[in-house]
Amino acid sequence: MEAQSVIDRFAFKEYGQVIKVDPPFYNEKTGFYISNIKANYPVYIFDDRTPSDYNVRVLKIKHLGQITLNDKLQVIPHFTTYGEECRENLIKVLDSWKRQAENIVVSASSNQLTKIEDFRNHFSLIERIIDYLIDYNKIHNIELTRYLNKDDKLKIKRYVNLLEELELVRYEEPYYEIANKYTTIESATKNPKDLMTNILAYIIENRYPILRDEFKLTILEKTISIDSIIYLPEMELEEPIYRKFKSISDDYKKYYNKNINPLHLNQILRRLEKVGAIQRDGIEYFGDEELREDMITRKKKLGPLSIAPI
Amino acid sequence: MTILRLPYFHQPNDMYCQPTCIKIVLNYAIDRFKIKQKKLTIKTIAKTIGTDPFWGTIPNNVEFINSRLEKTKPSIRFKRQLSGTYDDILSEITTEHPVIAWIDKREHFSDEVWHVVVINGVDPDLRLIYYCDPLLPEEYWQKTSPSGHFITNQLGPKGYLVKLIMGGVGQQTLINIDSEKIARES
Repeated sequence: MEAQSVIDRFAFKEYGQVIKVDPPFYNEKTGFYISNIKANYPVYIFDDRTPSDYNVRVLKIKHLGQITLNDKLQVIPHFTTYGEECRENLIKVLDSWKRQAENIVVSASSNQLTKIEDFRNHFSLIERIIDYLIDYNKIHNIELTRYLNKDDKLKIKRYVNLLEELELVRYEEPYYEIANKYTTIESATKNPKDLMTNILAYIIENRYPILRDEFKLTILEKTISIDSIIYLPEMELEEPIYRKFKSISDDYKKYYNKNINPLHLNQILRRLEKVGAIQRDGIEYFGDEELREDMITRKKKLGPLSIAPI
Repeated sequence: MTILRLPYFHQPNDMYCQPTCIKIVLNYAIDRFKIKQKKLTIKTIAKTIGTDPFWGTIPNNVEFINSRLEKTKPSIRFKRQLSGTYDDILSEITTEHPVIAWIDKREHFSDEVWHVVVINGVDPDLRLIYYCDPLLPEEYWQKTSPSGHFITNQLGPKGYLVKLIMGGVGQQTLINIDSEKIARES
């Protein structure tokens, strides 16, 4: 029996329908046959304007593990990714694909998102720092945390560190002063009233994953998730996909494995539409053309989907 | 032209096509052939064949459903085969057996992205295959495909057919295939 048929038989019994295995290659040094495990993951795209059919796009996941045979064509367990591990790897890659899409959506739409009032409320500590910088150009280290309780002291320190990382401020003992990026944004801002929005948009564009994961601004997640649900299929198909309220609600359940209150969903959709993050035609929602193009360009710059080689 | 009328079931998530298709065929067979067998839920079928919402069904596990069908009267079971021909499908449909098929629905077929549907009809004159797609709403789930395209491109050499084998009727189906083969060879 050939290595190929041994591997095919193994895969047939071990992995789900989305998994594929590459033909094995023989490593003369080790005397092993190694076959790469990958996946062709279907993304079904439904458009409410053409409900009679759907499009299929395929996420090509380049690497999820490997099957290794010895020269007697026996599977070597220690060097083989069995079903359960392979499935776990697949879930990790799919999760990172979803996160990647969210990050693209947020980066491309940061200007629109920062115009949502509810969204802005969660940045009040950052706004407090920026407001002070706008008025005085620098903040004394002591002033920054004076009379604050322990928790707020810690929070404001973390935010100022984030601003420093983004070159919006720099520390010149004992002051935090405006830095290069701040000056660039300020010069590019025609109306001074927009300066705060533009700075916040820059922060969100460049640090959304940190704001979400480390600063625990998870309150933003539902808005981002709904925005992503609009653009995720559009980025795959590279054209607008028209969807009604129910389809968006169903997709939220599908991608995030939880339900959303219909009133809340409606509120989010209206807010996103109001700031130009998405478009609406009658009862159908779809992505903004310019934003979609920007997202597609960003997506094309990313590397292939894969789990780190074992 | 023969088109079998199947009960509609929508797959509960993108990867549950195989258990949903088993549910469709099983419910159809129970009603059509008055089989004594409890109607199984999609969830139970998925659990039995180990379907997972992330990666779907392991091909080898499809026939595990037979473990739930041991006491059916008349006997009923599912049998998987690699690929298949138009004649395979024709003989099944002629005996009123829908056929489950693992197909790639995309136009350009090269790397097999499997979706599972139920073939419920053939039109030998127009050389069409009729199938039901559980991903679609009921009013749109009936689809057709030219048989050549369906067999060569969508099923291809690596797709599967899952046939319904029923007591005497199932054996009859196999006899039909054999007699057709003999007829073709002669």
